[in-house]
Amino acid sequence: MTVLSAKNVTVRFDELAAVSHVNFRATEGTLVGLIGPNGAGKTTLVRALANLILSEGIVKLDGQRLEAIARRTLAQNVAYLAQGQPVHWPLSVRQLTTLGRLPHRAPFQRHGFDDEDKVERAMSLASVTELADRTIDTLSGGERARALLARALAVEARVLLVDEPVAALDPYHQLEIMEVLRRYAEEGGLVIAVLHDLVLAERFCHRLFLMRDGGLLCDGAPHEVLTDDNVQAAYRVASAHGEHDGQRFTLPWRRIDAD
Amino acid sequence: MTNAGPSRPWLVYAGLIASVIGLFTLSLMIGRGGVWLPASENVGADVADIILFEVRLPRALLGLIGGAVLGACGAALQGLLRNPLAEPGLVGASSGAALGAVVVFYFGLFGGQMAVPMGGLVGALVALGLLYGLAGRRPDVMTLILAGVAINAFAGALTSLALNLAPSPFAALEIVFWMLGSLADRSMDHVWVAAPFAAIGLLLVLSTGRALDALSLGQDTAKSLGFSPGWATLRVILGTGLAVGALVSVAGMIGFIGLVVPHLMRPLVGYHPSRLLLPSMLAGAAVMLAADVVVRLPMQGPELKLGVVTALIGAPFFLMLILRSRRAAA
Repeated sequence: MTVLSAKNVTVRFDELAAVSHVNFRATEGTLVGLIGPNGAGKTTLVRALANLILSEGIVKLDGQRLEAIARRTLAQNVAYLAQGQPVHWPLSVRQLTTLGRLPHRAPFQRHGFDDEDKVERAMSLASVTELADRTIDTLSGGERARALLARALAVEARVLLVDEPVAALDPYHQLEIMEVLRRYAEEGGLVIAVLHDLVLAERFCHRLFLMRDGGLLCDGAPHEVLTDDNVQAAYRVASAHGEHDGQRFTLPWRRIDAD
Repeated sequence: MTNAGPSRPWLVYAGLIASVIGLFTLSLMIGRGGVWLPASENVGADVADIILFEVRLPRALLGLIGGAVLGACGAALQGLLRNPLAEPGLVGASSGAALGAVVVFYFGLFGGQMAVPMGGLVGALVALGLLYGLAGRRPDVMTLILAGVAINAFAGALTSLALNLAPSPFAALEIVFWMLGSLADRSMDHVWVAAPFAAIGLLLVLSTGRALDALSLGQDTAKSLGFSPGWATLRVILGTGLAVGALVSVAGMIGFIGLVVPHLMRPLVGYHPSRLLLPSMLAGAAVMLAADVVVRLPMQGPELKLGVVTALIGAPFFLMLILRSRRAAA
């Protein structure tokens, strides 16, 4: 079933189009990797999908335009984790994760045991349970990234938009977070994750969107998207391919001169 | 640091409420030079009643309202701007109110004792209108701060100009003394001028708790959690402007309470902006009432001005807080 669809989505900053004419339909149970070079418009597209910036074209959640959905309902259904998410006060990891339950609380309603369970579950998914009482300013970069992901997981939204969730992590935690995102998708969510690591993207994602210059250059299964020609066209690099455990992987290998 | 907030917030609330009630009562009981009203046998019951209800009650009420306003607005602004240095004067309404009052002094528009507060209110509202005019239709936090700084500077310059051109040294002195901030010699009329604005302002500010919590993750994330940063900003700025503008109109400039009180409360209730609002309101009231008792203790000389005392105590205290938190961070 289609959860999220984009039709002719275009975002302009002044006259410059950061995202232009993006079309897709994405279904539940899918982990989508949004890849592409710096400045391709990945972050802008994700923000448009979360209704955080004005865009032309139509984004629909369950067939309903985002603008027509009540703010709180939208917040319950679409969670967003910003790239380099700031945390302005030294909150504990548990307090931070609990903020993810805000969309589910009616005004004046206090947060209940149900919420507490969900907070614990989100912390355990992101493996930050041991850090629950530590404040965010005392964490390492990797611990911090996982705590922030826990906050986004705690929303338990049907659509999870995450911007570079593994950028600051070591290989162990990169694999761990990708597993979490994949499981989130397989349990019925739609996850769209901005990624730079082609190996992780190919290994874990069900589907890839390759962006260049604001448009979708290619959209499909990882092995269809990460061809030599596509990688070269998008990133200006020649790639090498290999196989391990029956899975194909792609390595960016050599720069190609612009001319 | 593993401080994740209080295990017993009700204890903090109980302590704060008890302090406010105690200090309010003390404010009613203690007079100039520490004279204990009920024990003084030189005055008759009717005089005692007049002192209690017409001199001390308005003063205590203004201390209660004013301190609550400064504490709550300081905490809300620090949450909104995500900056522990924010204080209620930042939005420009208090310097606008001061200028409005000074204009009344300067032009000698003494239409009764309420002319100065009315001038202050007009000044505060003009400053607020100017703030939103300057910041545009979709104001972001940085633009608002800069506009507030500009308004403060301009209102300050105009106030200085009034002093510079003051027709007599007495007029200048009167202006300066008024600006130092005081709750002495205020009547119930002053309370009635300030109270409605303070109430509206406090309601606006206290309604933003959850939005402020969400904003501690930045504007985008707050929006994705279902809050409108613009609406929260409007409520905090408008609420602070109305409440603090009205307070300055009746009491002059009283600094440092709005800045320091949230810092006092954080170790007790944690860093959540929403959990800080009510305790800061109560603690602000307690601190203001206490400071207003302190100013009337000296028997001789002119009465100390409340704004002078809050700054005298507040500034070193604030420095100590900063040094301590830096040492903890190191």
